[in-house]
Amino acid sequence: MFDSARQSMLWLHRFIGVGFSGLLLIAFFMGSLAVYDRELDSWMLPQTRLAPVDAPISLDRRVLPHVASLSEGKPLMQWYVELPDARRPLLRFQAWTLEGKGYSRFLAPTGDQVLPDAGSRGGDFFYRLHYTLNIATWSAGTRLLGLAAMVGLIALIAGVCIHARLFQDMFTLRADKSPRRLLDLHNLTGVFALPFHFIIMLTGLLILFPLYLPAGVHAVYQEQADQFGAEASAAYRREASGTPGPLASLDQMMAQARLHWGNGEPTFLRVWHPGDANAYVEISRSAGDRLSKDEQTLYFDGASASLLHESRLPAAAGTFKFLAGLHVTHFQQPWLRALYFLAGLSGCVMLGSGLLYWLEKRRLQNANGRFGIASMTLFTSALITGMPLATLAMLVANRWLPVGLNARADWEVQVFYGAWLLATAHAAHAIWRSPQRRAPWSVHCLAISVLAVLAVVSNAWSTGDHPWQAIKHGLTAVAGVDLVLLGVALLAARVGWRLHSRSGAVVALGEVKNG
Amino acid sequence: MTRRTVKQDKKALDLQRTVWLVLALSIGYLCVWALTTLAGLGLSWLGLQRSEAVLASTIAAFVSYPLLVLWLFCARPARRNGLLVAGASLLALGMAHYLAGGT
Repeated sequence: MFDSARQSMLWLHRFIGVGFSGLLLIAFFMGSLAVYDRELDSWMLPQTRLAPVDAPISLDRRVLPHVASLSEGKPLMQWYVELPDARRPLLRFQAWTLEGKGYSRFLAPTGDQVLPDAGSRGGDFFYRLHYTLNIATWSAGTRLLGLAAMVGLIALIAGVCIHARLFQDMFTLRADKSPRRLLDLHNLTGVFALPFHFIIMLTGLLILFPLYLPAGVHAVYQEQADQFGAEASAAYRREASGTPGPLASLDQMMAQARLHWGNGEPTFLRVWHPGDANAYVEISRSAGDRLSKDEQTLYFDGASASLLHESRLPAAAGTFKFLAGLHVTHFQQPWLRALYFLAGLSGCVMLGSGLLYWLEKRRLQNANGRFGIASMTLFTSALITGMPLATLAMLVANRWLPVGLNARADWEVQVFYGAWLLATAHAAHAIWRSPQRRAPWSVHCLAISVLAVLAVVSNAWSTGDHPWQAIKHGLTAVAGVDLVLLGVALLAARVGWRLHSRSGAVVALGEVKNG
Repeated sequence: MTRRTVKQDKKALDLQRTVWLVLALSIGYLCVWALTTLAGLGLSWLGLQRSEAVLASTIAAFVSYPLLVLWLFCARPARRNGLLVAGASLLALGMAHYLAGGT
């Protein structure tokens, strides 16, 4: 079948690359956006734009008196609050009734203000899309992405093995040689963030291993598979007694937790079986100052506020939480987060340039026929420019849709998919009309540039928070998103203009040759 | 040899390679499934906490899967390697079933 191991790896790398780059590109692009999900929340949910508060928050005063009204007075199985941090100066309250109905609201850290309903899924939309593809049936989206990540790992290792000059590739970009420049870009971005790409795909698989490889759980736990989660995280559980009971001071429990952790800060507090004599309170430590996702959770008795249990993770669980922490980026070090974002984007460039290189090579060899080249060009165009166009269209729609619109969040999602479909249809039309079956790269880049500027202007027009104003009011997340959008606009305009000039030159050259 | 025949040969070869890749992925998965099962049971039998046994064997499985598939796909003789790994995996699964108390 193959003459050498290198040839087989080359074929494998190419086959997997062409077959699975699409799924991986969606995961990498949306995952990169999800690194800044809270900042996007702040941009997309203007009602949550509050200046950070330095004073400590009293849950006894700020949350406890409002639990009944926030959950319509229904008996609850649990309620929890996510506490404010450097990236989100808000409390997020969630509650579940005994029947499984959920309530979710944002609370201002001071005063009695309950923020109005969101009307947008915010950054959470991009986060969910990056690992579910928004396909819930049989978790098909998550399974597909798991397969893509698994074969992506194989392609990555094969890609390293077929390289004769791994180190040299880091410094080679022959921008004047086509299509060699695409391969150079593919190698450069691939080698630059190689450990990141490897770790991010491996940890992505590990986080969801009960879906991808449940063999160990099935074998060891057999009929008790539901006990695995609680045992692995060394959690504490006890059932409700059915008799009413009081709840001690939550502030006192938080103070105890701070003392217990040394210099750790609580990030999450959950009350189980509220109002019951067996109520207990779970307090988790912020992972903002560490890579590991180990939350060192403490459990307190609801009535007496005495410490019931401390979850101490053994070796394998600790390693697992560390690996999971590398993926979910709960740490708050801004430069490390920026590096994650850039490494994620470098993954997108690696995948995109790989696809384009494959396409250009086929074009030169005139392989796969005109239909094959046209369909692959459409596929790459839908991914490389269609996906950012859809994202920007969603951001613009977020600022233009009326606040009182019924199911506003769903409308935003429909705009996202509609814009993606429209960009793909436009690309199909342009490819069909082009004699060389070329995608409308320059037009799409210019459209990206216009939409990015429009998003910034729309935000300034609808909220008054233009970048300068946002910085002045301490809304760094809003200013940051705006500045990145302006950067994208500049970059896309430059690329679009260059591609437009080049295609003009190629047409002129063709006319000279024919004439 | 005509151009058309060369094209048909290439198509047949590509199909053969694709089938072999799917087989390598499936045999690799069968193998890590069997190893995870056996390692999980073995570690818990040796006294490791149940969840620890599951996590340790699963992490090891995810790290070894890509390397195993690459070896199955690239090393020669491929057919013999494939049969060997598939046979050993089935044997390991049988053993795990026996260890877990199956009949």
